[in-house]
Order: sequence, then structure tokens, then C-alpha cells
Amino acid sequence: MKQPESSQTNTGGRVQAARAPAFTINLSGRGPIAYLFLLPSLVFLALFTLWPIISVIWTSFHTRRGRSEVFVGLQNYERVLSDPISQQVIKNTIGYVTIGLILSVIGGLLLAILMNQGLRNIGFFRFPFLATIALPMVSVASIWLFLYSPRVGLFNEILGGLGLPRSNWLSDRELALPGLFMVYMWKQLGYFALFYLAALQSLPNDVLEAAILDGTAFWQKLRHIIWPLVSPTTYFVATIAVLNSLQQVDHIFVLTEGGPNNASNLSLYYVYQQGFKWFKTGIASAMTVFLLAVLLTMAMLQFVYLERRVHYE
Amino acid sequence: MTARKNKWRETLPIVALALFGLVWMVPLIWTLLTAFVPTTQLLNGSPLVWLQSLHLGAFAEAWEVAPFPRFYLNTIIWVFGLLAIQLVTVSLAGFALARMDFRGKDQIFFLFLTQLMVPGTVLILPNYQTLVRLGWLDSYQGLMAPYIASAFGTFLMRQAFKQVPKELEEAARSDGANWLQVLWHVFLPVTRAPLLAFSIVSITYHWNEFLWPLLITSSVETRPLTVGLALLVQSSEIGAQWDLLGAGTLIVAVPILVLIALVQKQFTNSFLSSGIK
Repeated sequence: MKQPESSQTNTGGRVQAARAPAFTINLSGRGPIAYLFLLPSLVFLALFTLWPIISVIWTSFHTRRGRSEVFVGLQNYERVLSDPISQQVIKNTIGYVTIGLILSVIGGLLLAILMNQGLRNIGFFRFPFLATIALPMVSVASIWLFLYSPRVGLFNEILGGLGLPRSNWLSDRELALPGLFMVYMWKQLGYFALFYLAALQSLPNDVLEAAILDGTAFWQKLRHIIWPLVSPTTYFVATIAVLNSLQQVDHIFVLTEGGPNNASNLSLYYVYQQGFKWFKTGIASAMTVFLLAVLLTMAMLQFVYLERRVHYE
Repeated sequence: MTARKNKWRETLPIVALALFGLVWMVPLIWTLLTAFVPTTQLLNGSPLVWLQSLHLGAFAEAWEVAPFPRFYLNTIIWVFGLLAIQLVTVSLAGFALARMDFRGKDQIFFLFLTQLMVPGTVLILPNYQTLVRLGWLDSYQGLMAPYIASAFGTFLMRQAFKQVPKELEEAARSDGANWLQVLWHVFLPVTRAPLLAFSIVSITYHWNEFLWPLLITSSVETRPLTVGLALLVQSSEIGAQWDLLGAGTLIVAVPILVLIALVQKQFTNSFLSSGIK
């Protein structure tokens, strides 16, 4: 069993052999050892990445009747698409993700340009933006819960001090979702800026010189020089911005629980509600499959984009 | 261009960054104040009053109200226990993918890639059902299970191992070392930087993790800090004990803040590599 396997690798793996000739010549029986090395990872990949994808697709076509799962075809998907609450959730999510994408790119780039100024020991100035990335979202949300508090919160103190009407931030239909969004951006903007910062630092120095703030000329340079040069990073930041905004739900638990009246409910929180609060696994699975479809599309787009660029390893 | 204008051009961005950073810090500073200054003084007094009434009472109380020592222990066990397991799995898998030839390599590579494309948070429902079947609910191994295989770590190590010169390895092989010895004595000592990068990302990510632990832990013996804090927030909402909340927030966040203050540069680099995949 072992011998034919390794000899097949020798004949079939010519490309591999060209890259690493030493291994194909002097080591027999490395196939089985490779599988042994991979085994722990493969077991857990199969159980917690591959299997859940298959399983969630299966449950999305079924519904629970008593103790058994009954096949219902596309019924769960139809319900997700026709139910007013899930429609609201999808609308919220699209808005949240889109605005998040735009602000992550623009805000991230501008912050990175600021962070990339000449001073060597600038670490101190960068700390605020790095600190928020590393903080637990639950802590961040607790911090903002206090800032948003109607009676004693900082925002209302400032508004009151300016003689403006106070708001009931998180219980307001209009303000709850933007409120969540602010928390998310406060935490994540530095993360997106980091990628732009790395991109800026790999540019030649004279281009960087051009990036120093200087009135109208700055915008010209930003548009015509920096923006085109960092476009691969922009593509990348856009991708992770979408992934990030779809995945982060911890602040919803602490701040609004999706309310008021689902005004701040997002797709993953909806999956939690349906699956774990109301035990509607079919509905939750259908929504999960929608999410998976979005993620896979994103991955494909990124793959196509990378293929089009120079392929290297 | 005049010297004056040059100077202006140099200092303006720094000032802008500093101001922006200061504004960015306001929520953090406010949290510090709520934790160390009694709420009534904070709302009615001036900064001078705040300084005079600094106290640690809220920390003592938070420590009493919620079993934070136990939550700390739980977080440390699951985060560092997981890291220890991951370092083994990603080193082994990364090594196999970087340095060995075998059948099905492309398929296995693609399986790892799938994990990068589909983050675990999205799969909470089916993964929860798997844990139920395994009987791993409310356990440390349940907390760790979805993360034991790490595509990010595996690819990071694969990339690092590929750069190790072949001669080093051949020398060890000709001395009769087996693969594990080669990995341990030749490869791991020269790939400490990526191992550290992976560790920083893994620790921060899991220290902060909330949704998965919330779903699968149900006892004080397994609950991590983040879930403990969320429970505290929910309970203190009724009494609006903001100083307690501030203290609890800091109790959870301070170790991570200290970590990045200490290793800011590595931290930055690690997080860049976490995005690069």
C-alpha cells in the first residue's frame, strides 16, 4: 500500500519534483508520514468546517416536525425572503455592510496617510487606533453602552451642554443601527488602516513625500498618485471589510439585542435568534446558506482578481 | 519652497494625528474615569473633584459580584490550551504542505482554503449541533474544537518552512534524523517569528471571543471573561452601576492592552499577516 503510493508521486508529481528535487530522490515512504502530520488538522477541518457546511445546507431544506426532520424543499428560503422581519434584517445588513465597506476604504486610507508621517517614534500616536483593534468587542460595546446612556451618557451630556435636544440613542428606531455601526467602526478602523499603512510604506519615498497634507495639491496627489498605487490593498481591504462587518455581532448582544423592533438586527444575529432562541433551525440554516453564498462569492472574486495579477509564490 | 512652509507641512499632519488620536481615546479615557471615580462625583464634579475621589472600590465590588478570578482562569485555560494544541497542529500540517510530496496534496490544500473562506462564526448552528452529538457542550474541548485546525496558522507556517534552505534539512537527514526531529531541531528554531505572529493573533482573537463561548458554556467553571462581562452588563443595567461596569470592562480588556503596548510592533506585523492569509 505504501510503496505504490510514493512511486506514483514520483512519476506524477513532476512539477513538485522540479521544485524540490531533493525530496523526490532520497526519501521513500514520505507519503504516509505526510498524512500522519496532516491528520490532526484534517480531522478537525472535516468535523468543524466541511461537515457543518454540508449539514447546514441539508437542514435548510428540512423542518422539524415533532421528533423528525421533514423535507420541505425551498420553503425555508421562501420564508426568509418573504417574512417582513428577515426582509428588514437583510436590508439592515446590506446597508451596514455597504456603508462599512465605503468608510473602511476611505477612512482607512486617510488614517493610514496620517499615521505614515515622517516621525520615527510615532508609535505613541498610533496606539489609540491599535488598542481598539485588540480590545474585546464585548468590552468595547460596554464602553459605548455608557457613552450612549440616555441619562448620564457622554453624548447626551455634550448635546445638553450645547443646548441641543438629547436622544435616546439605542432605543431610537433611526439611531440604533447607526449607533451599532459607530461602535464597529471605532473598533475596526485602525485594522483597515494597518493594511494601507503597510502598502504606503512599500511605496518609493518620493511618492510618500507627495502624501504630506498640503491643501488642494494633497487631494490631487491622493487621487492621481496614491489611490491607483494602493488599489490592490483597496481590493483587499474591501474584502475583509465585508467579511468583518458580516461576522461581528458581539456588540448587538450588549447594546440593542437587535431592537427596537429589529431596527438594528443583522443577519448573523438573526441566525442566532432563529436557531438558539426560537429553535427554528430550518430558517436559521437558510439564512446561514445565504451568508455562505455571499462569502463564497467574495472568495471567488478575490481568487479571480489574484489570478489576473502576476502569480507568484 | 520656504522653510516656514516646509515646517508647517511637517507639523500639521502630526498635530492632526495627535488630535484625532485623542478624540479616538475619549471612550477609553471615559471608561477609566467611570471605573476609578464614583459615578455621582463623575457626573456632578469637576476634574479636580474626580482626582480627589479616585478609588478602587468598583474593582473590589466587580470582583465580588461576578466570579472574575474563575472567569480569568477559564479564559487562560482555553486560550493558552488552544494555542498549545494549535502550535502542534499548524507546525505539523504546515511542514507537510511545505516540504513533503504526497497524493491528494491539492485537495487537502483546498480543504484548508475552505476554512479561510468560511469563517467559523458563520457556522455556529451546525457546529453547535456537532458539539451536542459529541457531548462536548460546556467543556474546554468544546470551546477549542472549531479552532484546533487553523488554516491561517498552517499557511503561515507553510510559507515560513518553504524559505528554510534545503541544505540545513539535508544535513540533518543525512545524520539520520527522522522527520519529527528535523522539524523540531532544524525548522522550528528558525521560524520563531511566524510562530510568535500566529500566537499573538490567536491569543487576541480567542481572548476576545464571545459568541461561541456564549452558546456552548453554561457554568461558572467554563465561562470565559467576555461572557462573564456580558452577564455583568445585563445585570447592572437594572441598577445602572456604571462604575462597576467600567471596572468589569477594564478587568477583561487590560491584559490585551498591556500585551499590545509591550509588543506593538510585532502586534502590527502579526495582524497584517492575519489579513494576508
